[in-house]
Amino acid sequence: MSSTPDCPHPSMSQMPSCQVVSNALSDYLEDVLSDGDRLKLEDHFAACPLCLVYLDQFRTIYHITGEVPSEQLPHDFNEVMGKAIRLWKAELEDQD
Amino acid sequence: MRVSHPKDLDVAQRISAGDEGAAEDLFRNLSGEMFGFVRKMLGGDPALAEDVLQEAMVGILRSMNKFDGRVRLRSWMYRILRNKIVDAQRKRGREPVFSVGDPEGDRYDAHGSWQKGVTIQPWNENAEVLDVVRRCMELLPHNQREALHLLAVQGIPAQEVATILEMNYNNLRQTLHRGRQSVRRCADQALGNLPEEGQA
Repeated sequence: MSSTPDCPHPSMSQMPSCQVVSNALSDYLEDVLSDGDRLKLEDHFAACPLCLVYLDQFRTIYHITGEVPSEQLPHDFNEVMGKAIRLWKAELEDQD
Repeated sequence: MRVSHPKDLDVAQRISAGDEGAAEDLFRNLSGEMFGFVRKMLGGDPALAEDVLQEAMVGILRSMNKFDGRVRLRSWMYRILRNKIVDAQRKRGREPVFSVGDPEGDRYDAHGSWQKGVTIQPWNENAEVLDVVRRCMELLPHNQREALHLLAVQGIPAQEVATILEMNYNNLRQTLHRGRQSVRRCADQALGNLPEEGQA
């Protein structure tokens, strides 16, 4: 099966493949790549419209998954905690 | 033995000696995030989450005399909580699914380029991406979901998440990345850009 024509083919260029680019996106967004690797990815994005859209979507996912709000404690949390502590204390007393 | 967290060890020793006040303080500080984690991992069932949290609290108190201060007390508590969550899932007939593969692996050719016919369209700016992403997070394999929730939802530093999950830092980074890729693909399907699984 041939590759998507618009994207650089790794066997015909020094650029990383689309799969390599996809697998490096967290490192790219967290800026932990070497300058050389970051430039290779950016050259790939300039030549590959699919990976450029993929990057945009991945960036959205990266940020949203970091912003899911935490849950509120149940209103009867004191009861939940109190019961746990009572069970534990009863076991301690049984051991004495 | 090297004690890396002497304050945590002191709290644990007070609780082990039967100090109810120390136990209450500990749970009041951490139960909000722990409850949130349980709910996310169990699909938002609040009654079940309360039961699992309570069971985990009892388990934590029972085992407190085994805490040795080598890891943070919070990390040690989360390990117990994780086990209770898996137990609860199994009781409901849901064996946790673990995945390490590339979620997009079937869409590349032999050279790692997108296969001919693959399309990746920008998402509609008006689409309910946030809701879709939340739903997609609930569908993630167990290992990716707990890693993403611990890091992103609970705000625990990555090194500590690795300690909780008992994996090395590089494996955690890989698991997080796979989780984000899985969420992106799921969101793309939900937003109409990809055929549903099995129809490709």
